This record gives sequence, C-alpha cells and structure tokens, in this order.
Amino acid sequence: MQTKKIGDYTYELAQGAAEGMRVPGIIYADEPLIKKAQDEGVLTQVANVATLPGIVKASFAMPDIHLGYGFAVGGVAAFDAKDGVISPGGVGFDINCGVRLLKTNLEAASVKEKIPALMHELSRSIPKGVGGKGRLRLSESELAEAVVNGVSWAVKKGYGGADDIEHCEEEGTLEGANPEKVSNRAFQRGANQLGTLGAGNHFVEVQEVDRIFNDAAAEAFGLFEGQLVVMIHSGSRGFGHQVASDYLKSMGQVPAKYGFDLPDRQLAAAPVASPEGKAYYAAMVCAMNYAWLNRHIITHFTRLSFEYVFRKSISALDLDLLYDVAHNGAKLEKHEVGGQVRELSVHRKGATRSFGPQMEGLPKTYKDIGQPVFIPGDMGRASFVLVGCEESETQAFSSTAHGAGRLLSRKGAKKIVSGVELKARLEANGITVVAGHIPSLAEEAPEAYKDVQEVVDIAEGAGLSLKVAKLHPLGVLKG
Amino acid sequence: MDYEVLSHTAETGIKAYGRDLNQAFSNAAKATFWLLTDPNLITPTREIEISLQSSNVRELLVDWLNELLFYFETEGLVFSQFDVRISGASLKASAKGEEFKADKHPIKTQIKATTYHNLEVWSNGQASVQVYFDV
Repeated sequence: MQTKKIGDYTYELAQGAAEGMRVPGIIYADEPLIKKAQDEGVLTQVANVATLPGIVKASFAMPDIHLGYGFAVGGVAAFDAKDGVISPGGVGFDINCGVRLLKTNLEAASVKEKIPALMHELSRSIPKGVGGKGRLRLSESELAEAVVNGVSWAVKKGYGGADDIEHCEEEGTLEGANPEKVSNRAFQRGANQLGTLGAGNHFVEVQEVDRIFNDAAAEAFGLFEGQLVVMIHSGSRGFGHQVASDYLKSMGQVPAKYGFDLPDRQLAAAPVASPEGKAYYAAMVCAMNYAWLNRHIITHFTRLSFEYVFRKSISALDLDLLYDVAHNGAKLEKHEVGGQVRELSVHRKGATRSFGPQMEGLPKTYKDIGQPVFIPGDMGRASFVLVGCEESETQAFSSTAHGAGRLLSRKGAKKIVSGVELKARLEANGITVVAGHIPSLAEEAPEAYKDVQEVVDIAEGAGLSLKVAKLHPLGVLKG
Repeated sequence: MDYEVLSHTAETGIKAYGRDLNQAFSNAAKATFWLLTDPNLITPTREIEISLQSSNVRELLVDWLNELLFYFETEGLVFSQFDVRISGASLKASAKGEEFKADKHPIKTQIKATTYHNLEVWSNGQASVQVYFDV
C-alpha cells in the first residue's frame, strides 16, 4: 500500500487505496517509520478502520504505530455519535490501559542509595505478575458501586485525596457506567485484581527528571531537573479483558443486522446509538473506571512504600499526582469538524488524548498550559512528559502517541538477550530491576522497542504535542 | 508436530495440528498452556468438564481457549491434558490439570485474551487451527 507525503511528518493513504474506505488514512511518521509501517502490513489495518460506518475526517495513526488486532496500535478514529459506530475491537482488550506520574520533592541524586530498598518495598506492597491478587477484597456489589463511582469511591474509602480526583483524566470517573451490562465473569475476574499491576509491559518505574524542554509547562506541572518521580503503567486487568471478550463475541452478528460489512472480525462494531452499542459503552465505562481505580490503589501502596523507606509522611514528601492519562478507550467528545461542533465517539487504541490550552475538561491548574501527556519508553533509556497544544485539535482530534512501539517480537527479544543478562546490564547502568519472572524480562528489553525519542520528536514535529521533560529510569518494577 | 508458536512484532499466536478437529483443538489448548507456563510441570490431578455452543467452528475455537483462560484466572487452574469432542459448532471437553502454584509453575507469558485476528480453522483430511492472543 502506497502513501503520499503531505507534510513534514504526515503521510496520506488515499481513500481509494483499499475497497470500501470512507475516508483517507493519515499517518504521522518520518521516512524510516512509514517504510516500516508499509513493510509490516499495518497500513491495511489503517485502511480497514477507514471502512467503518460514520468515520469522520480520517483513520489516523500516531508515530508509534505498529501492528495490532483490528485497529493498529497507535490508531485514532472518530465516529459520528448519531450515525457512526463504536467498536470493542477499536478499544482493545486492556480497556483504559494508561499511565500516571507521581511527583516527589526529592532530589534523585541525594536518595540514589535508597532506590534498591524502595524497589524492594514497592515489590512487596504492589501485587504483580500473573495471578497476583490485590489487597482489597470486594464483594460483587461493592465492586459494582466502585466501577460506577471510579476514583471518588476510593477517596471516600480513605485511599488518596481530592487532588487525586482533580488531576486525573475525566476526574477518574467517566459517566455512563452501568454494571448491569457487565457479565458475572468480568466481576469474577475483577474481584481480586483491584490494585494489581499485571504482567507484560506494565510497570512501576522510579525515574529522575533528566532534562526540561519547556520551562512554562514544567513549572505548571511542578517538575524540575533532578527530581525523583514515579511512573505507573497498568490497566483494567481481567475485568476489562473480559468486557472486551464478551462484547467482541456478542457483536459477531451485529454488523449484518445493521447492514454493514467488516473487513476483519476483530473490528466488531455496533452503531453508537443502537442497543448493542449503548450496552458496550456502559460496560466499557465500568472498565475505564476500574482501570483508574486500579492505578489509584497502586498509587496508594506506592505512597505507603515511600513513607516506609524515607521515614517521612506522604505530605512531607509532596507525593502528588501530576496527572493520569488513558491510552485505550472510546470516549464521547465534542470536536469541530468543517466549522461545525459535532459529538463524536473518539476511539484511541494505543493513543493518548492531548488537549491543548483552554479545552473543556482540563483541571484548572493546567487550563492555560494544556494537558500533560506521558509517553513511557523502554526500561533502559527514557520516558517523556509532553503537553497538548492548540495545533493538536486541528490534527487527529487532539491525540498523540502513547509509547515507543515494539521493534522485535517477544520471542525475537529473548533470542538477543536473556532476562538474567538484561538485569545485570541495567543494574550496571544504575537501574535497579525487580521482576516477577526474570526470564520474561527479556521480552521487554530496550532493544525490543523503538527509541521513544524518535516517537516524541515526530509527535512534536507533526504538532500533536510538545516536549516538556525527559525522564530516565532508576528503578523498575515489572510484573 | 502438535503445535508451533507464531510470533511477529507485537503478536503472539499458535498453530496447532491434528488428525481431526478434536485433536487440533486439544493441541491448541496444549500450546496455550505452553505459552503460559511449562506443561511438563503440571500434574493432572484435577479434571473439569466444559460444554460450549458457538455460532460456528471458528468462534468455537476462540470460546474454547477463552474458557480455559477463564478457569486459570478465576479458579487458578492450569491444564496439560485435554479430551475434546466437537460436533458442528458445539464442543464437549474434559481438561486435566492442577491448581496453579507460582513456585511450581513459572509463568512465561500473561495472556489477556484470545483474538479473532487471522483466525483459521482448516479441516480437510488432516486438521489445523491458528489463533492469536493479546499478551
């Protein structure tokens, strides 16, 4: 599939590139990245999404695009709320997988010798890996109440405070949750997993702010060079995976019912306004709220670990939440399209909302500067803090990248390096590593990922978001 | 060969073979638990019965593997032996295994779910099936 360069970092996949495309594809990339996307066959996934009913403007792909299931990872697509669709395949299995950043007032250089003890304590207090059970034991009715009320439920129970609500996308509670649309199976899977990290690419990382690129944004976010911060990456665990599986299954016959064809079964979709579409939305919102709660509970135990290791209170350490972003979801948002404000179901699959200044829904502390965005890189190199910008709204409905994107398969990564070697190498570079299963660590080796620096440079060059700070890892906790 | 692992960038899948669909489905289950842990370390001391009805045999494959993963996640069971009987788009099966113990069964890969991506079921004399997982 051929693309045409239409901007410094923008490539167009013409509407006629594949049968049934209703809009063109737009890929934010540089030369090597677009070539890789072509070779990998991921443009077919961009084209497939463009065939879905009610798609507006284009089928977008962010600079960390890679092959996914149904949607490409890094895919953004908005569908008209009246005559468009909502797709469980467009959200993915890990509903509201996302990232948050916790700040501290500690200078990393002065506490480096305590990082191994901190990582050990985090590993003790945050359940991780496959089969990790959470410390909270909720009945089904308690969990139903929790997924309707999100982070505010946890704050009422004594976990965290009001600032944690304010500094979270959607204030940690998306409206429209209906636990009756969630299967018993999802509740069974979710019951003992709240506050657990999971496995795969999920992590808790203790990082140092390496470099500030944007003083105004860094000041608004409370970041300074040399600062110790904590990045948390996890999602909705088995609860969300089950919601996704349930609705992918039940929507198998739905496209035929509403008179549209799918190029890929994994793109299962229903009209936003149909009973099937509304049911999925109500269940997906429960899973979105579960994920915010999950990261919030992990935050609680992270704070306790800091208190224990540094012998200071949470408030004395200023362990405040900077922000929390979702990178898998379908949200109802208003965007201007062709001079008209329209209500759209914006699907971001491995993409982050990136609201510029003055956008509705930003916390008042960030209203003048824009929304914080976190782009985790690999465990050996760097992660980035970005900020949404005005231009972002004219591109892909205020969206940007979400990570580095894989370069090698998990199997391929294990051929290059063993978990034991990788741990030794990272530790020689001053990075403490604690993992649930050391051999699996190799799957997440730095060489398995693209350099996140390239991704954020393209994101900035394309006007999707601006660089604020570069962070480098000091301690890594993996599932 | 009973099964092979298919791996490409962000994807992990399996292809399983058999003299008929029953055996191919059974080998697909073995491959799934091979991805998850080491099946040689699973002592088959417990047996469960599974009965499924799907809209077609391809969907049945996804439902079958998701069912086993559901038992793993909620009941903490890992399996190494399977007896599958397929009739049309329905399945009756028994799965033998034991309770998952973190120190006995090292986890190799977390499997979030079975996908419909490049899902294939071939049955023409011999049988084979192909399925990808979100990991």
